[in-house]
Amino acid sequence: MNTVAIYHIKGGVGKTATAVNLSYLAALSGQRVLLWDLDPQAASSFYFRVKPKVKGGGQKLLHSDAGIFKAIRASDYDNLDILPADFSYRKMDHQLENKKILKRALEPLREAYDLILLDCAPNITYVSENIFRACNAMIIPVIPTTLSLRTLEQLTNYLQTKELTHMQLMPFFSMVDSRRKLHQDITKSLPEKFPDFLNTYIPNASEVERMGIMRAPLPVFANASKPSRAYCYLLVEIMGRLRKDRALKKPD
Amino acid sequence: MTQEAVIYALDSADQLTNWAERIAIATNAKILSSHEELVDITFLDSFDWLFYSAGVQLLAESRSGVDGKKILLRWVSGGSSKRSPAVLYLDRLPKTAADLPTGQMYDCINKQLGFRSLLPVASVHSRQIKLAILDKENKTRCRLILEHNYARPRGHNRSIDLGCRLRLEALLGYEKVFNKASKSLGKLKGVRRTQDDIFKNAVIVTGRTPGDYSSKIQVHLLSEWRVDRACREILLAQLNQLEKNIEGTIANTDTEFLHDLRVAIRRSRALLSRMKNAFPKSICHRFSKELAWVGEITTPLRDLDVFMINFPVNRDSLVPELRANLAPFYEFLCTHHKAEQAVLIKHFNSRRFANFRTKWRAYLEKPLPIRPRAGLSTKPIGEVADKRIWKTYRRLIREGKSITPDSPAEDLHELRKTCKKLRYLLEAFASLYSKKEIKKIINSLKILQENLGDFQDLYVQATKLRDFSQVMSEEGETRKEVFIAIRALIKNMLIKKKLARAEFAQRFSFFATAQVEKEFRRLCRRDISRDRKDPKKKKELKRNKTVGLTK
Repeated sequence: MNTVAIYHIKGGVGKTATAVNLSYLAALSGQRVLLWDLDPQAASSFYFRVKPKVKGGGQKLLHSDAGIFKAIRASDYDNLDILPADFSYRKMDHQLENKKILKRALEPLREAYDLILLDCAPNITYVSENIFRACNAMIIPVIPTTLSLRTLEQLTNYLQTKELTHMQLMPFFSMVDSRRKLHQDITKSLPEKFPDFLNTYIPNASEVERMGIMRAPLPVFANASKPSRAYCYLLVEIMGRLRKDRALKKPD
Repeated sequence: MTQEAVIYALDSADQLTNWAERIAIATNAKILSSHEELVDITFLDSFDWLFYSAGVQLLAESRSGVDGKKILLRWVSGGSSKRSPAVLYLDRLPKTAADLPTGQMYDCINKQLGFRSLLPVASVHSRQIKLAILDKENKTRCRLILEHNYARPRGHNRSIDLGCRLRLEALLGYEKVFNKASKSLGKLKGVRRTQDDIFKNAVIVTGRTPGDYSSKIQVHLLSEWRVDRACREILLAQLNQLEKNIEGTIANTDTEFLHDLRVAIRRSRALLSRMKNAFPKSICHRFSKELAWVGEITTPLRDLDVFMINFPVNRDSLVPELRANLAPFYEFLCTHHKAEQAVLIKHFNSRRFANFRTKWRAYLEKPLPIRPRAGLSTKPIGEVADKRIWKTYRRLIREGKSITPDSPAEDLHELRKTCKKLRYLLEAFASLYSKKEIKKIINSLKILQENLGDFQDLYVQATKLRDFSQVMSEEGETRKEVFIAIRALIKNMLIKKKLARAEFAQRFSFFATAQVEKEFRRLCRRDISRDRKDPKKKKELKRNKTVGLTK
């Protein structure tokens, strides 16, 4: 099982759109996928039309095996389940002072799913530290702007200082406007500095914004659109990296 | 994910669209498609019903689907299973598990099927209307699929009506909605819950029944039957198995056709050799020779099959740099496989093979002679089977004990043959004994058989590989790296062979225990006190006691 976090310290970089589309496409490719909406804003849950409510709140979810299973909801799509957000997640920081609670909470789901995607809220908090320990890869959407890059540097420095090197970092460019000179320059120059950057980028397109109106993943209503195809390529690239990583870590 | 599904049979006199409206009102569901959707469903299984035996179904639904992919592969485990069905969109039907991407579907199929082939066993044409129970947010909380199914047997123009039905699917986390819908449907006129399976009906229409083939011996004997009658029944079942596998072997859709055909031959040969006194000498001699010939003509193709099946494992046993160099060897295997297949088809079409089949069948189906010449013929099979099994077991122990670390490979091969004979006897006469006891004994035997099998197969394969590389060289292969890779493969096999050889003593000691002897004694109704009175057996028992076999 792969546990992959979609995370960035900065908000509004396209984390939720990435989580929703990647989870849908991974499920379509035959993997059993669970998307956990960890953001109390509940945007992923909204996109999948799942009520953002967990009986007993985050506390029950994190400390009981049965609780986590009871909270899971089937999405409208085959192979894809949602663990919805709950407003109580805003207090999750207090419940996650121990940095391995989230990892332990995910343990019983190991057999049931091939891929668990964590749609994370921005900021670096105790929740983020738990996420870092629970996942084996982190997808980081980066808008090619100065502020977004600054936060990427902050994040990588933080992970290095805390010696959190077990996970694969997979930054990629999101909301790229190829007409803008700054976007062009950064998308060309940055991968040299960060060799882990994924080759695929997601273009800035109005179709992605329409996800909120359609309340469905992009391939469902705009399969042939540029960003929809870009998400397909992104998933292929991510799965390739995960497979490679697993092969390297596999003992002889 | 779908949790479970309940099937309801509907009165098919009414139209599907009318049913959709009635059900929508009764369950408060929304009709998702105003028109009927046409879906072609193909049920896939191995020819020996591996999925059906395991209580699962694999169906391929053909329709214009998401992402341009036309086939939806659906893995459905038994009704009581809480595990959600695996679903996968594909461009074309897979032939083996290897054609699938890694994931749940691959895991499910590979676990049951291994390297075996997927074959279409039945097909259904379905007209469907989809309904869903939605919440305020338009989220699906329960799925309802209305179907009118028709089966079309291969080669027939007319379809057979399999009736209308409704599939109610529960979704994870929304079980209450499912239960409520289920209650409402229970009250609806013309709707009744059913266990009827369209799979079974669709297979029956093709003239087969699910599970109608198994390579296991399914002959039910009675211990008071005459030996010749019992043996003929078993041999006839083996001839039937052989004939059922000819078409598949010729079509080459699954390597297991040839495997099962050869098993039938080996079982027949083992029975003829162990029970030769039950048949006239001339019959025994003549058909043993013919059976040996069929074994012989099928061996080259089976050898190539084994190499091709094991190729991925063998290739991965090499260091990564050498793996790609084996590609020409695989091509060589494919080319020779084609050639050998053609040779075998010629043999199968030969007069000798046809004669063998007709005459062997004629003999086996002939009425039993009232006064048979063969000495053993009229004895009760129960008694004779006891003796034969016991004798073969004793022979196995004797041969096994005589093997030392310096014994040649041929001795182990002989022991393997005895092992197989014992196994075939146990399987052939299983219906005379308690299922539990036979299973226990066969399981003990398997541990030894596996080791001997590994040793012998690796020995034969390493020798074969040497021959193949010689042939490749004669055929003009000059690339050094290819031969280096083959040599590395031979080396690996010889190392594994050595390991199997080193393990033999331990495996044999697991089998040659007082406990297993006790089990055989109980099975064959051998009384130890009776053996103690016999001076010959007394000596043997004494010898066994010193090595801790008999208490």
